[in-house]
Amino acid sequence: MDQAEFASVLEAARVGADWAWSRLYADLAPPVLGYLRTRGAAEPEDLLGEVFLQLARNLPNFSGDYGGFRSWVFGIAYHRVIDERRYRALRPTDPGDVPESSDVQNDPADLAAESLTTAAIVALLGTLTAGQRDVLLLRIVAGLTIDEVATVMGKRVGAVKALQRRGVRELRQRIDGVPLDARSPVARVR
Amino acid sequence: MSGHLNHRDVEELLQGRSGVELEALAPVVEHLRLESTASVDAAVAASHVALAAAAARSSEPAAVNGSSARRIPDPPRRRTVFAGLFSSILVKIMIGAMALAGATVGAGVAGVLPEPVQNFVDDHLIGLDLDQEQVRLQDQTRLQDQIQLEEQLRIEEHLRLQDQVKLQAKNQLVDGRPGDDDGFQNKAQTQGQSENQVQEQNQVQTQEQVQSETQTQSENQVQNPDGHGESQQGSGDTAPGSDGTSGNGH
Repeated sequence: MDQAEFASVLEAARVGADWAWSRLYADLAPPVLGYLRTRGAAEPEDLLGEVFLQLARNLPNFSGDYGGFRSWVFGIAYHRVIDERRYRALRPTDPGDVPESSDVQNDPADLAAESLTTAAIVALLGTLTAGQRDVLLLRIVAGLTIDEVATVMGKRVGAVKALQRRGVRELRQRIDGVPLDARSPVARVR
Repeated sequence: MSGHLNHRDVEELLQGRSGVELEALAPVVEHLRLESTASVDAAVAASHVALAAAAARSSEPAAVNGSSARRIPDPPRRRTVFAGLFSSILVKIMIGAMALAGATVGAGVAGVLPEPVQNFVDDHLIGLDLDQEQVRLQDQTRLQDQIQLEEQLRIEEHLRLQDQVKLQAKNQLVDGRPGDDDGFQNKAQTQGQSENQVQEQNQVQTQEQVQSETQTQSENQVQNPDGHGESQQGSGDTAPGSDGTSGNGH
């Protein structure tokens, strides 16, 4: 979506035009839904609806180009996932929750290597820290730049780069079967 | 395998151009990239779009910069809200002030207020009628006291006159005493009896006269209870009468 088209769509979306919202939804819903799924949301489609609802409510406060708009939308999704995580932590009744830590019975690296399913990849990403996972998902699934990821997560660019590098190294060690003892002291502490 | 990862290698991996160092991660990254093209159910998408459009329309007046809807203010509603709040506050203040004033007056009538406040209430709020009634009672009391005093003075005057008459009678008897004692004693007894009779008659007449004058003054005072000067004038009028009575007593 180029800037001219985005400007007209945004203006129409602000007054509640259905066609504008259909256009925005068609453009943004798939990556947002992918991010929510890989992030481990329990009900990703419901959460997607909540993201767009909050987007519609907060749209008057937005100003910027399409890239900024995408970052803004993923920022809403990022915080919605955190809210959902906290809510589920207070009410742990859903057995389908994906654990945050690496307490996975089957080795997720084996699962990811044998069959690349979304569940397996989610389990593999579950071995990472939350920051590493968020950075990688926002970079790969959402297609955001490092600066945009830093803006979404409220971190400095250098911190985002460090999280990204450590996350990739963790994934490679998992898949390549590098034992945990071979990790760096910083990784063991983390 | 556990070699150092530089930023460029990671960026190439994330861009889908992984080198040998990270080629094991390339399928994972590719699968994640495909997740960004996940399709959404058509019905779910339609409901999401409808909800988002409706939410945008509901928040649209405050949203659109320069639109006609945003330029339309909503002052009447705000004014109404503030007017209602203001009137409500005024009503509450008035009710509270009235209740406070009523309680103060009630406590002032009961006389249980602190001394300065009680003095103020007595002087300015409830003291007017009480003062008038008090002045009227004081006038009546003073009038009665004056009447009693005049009566006592009159009685004392009569007694003094009677003593003078007795003394004169004795002096006359002493001056005109005969040679023999019997005749002198008989005359003295006879004259003593006559003097006693005269004194009794004078006393009865004096008492009747005093009573009549007292009744007259009381009637005058009852007819003019507020007229303090008139009562004094009336008492002055009765004084010559009393003198006349004493003259008659002689």
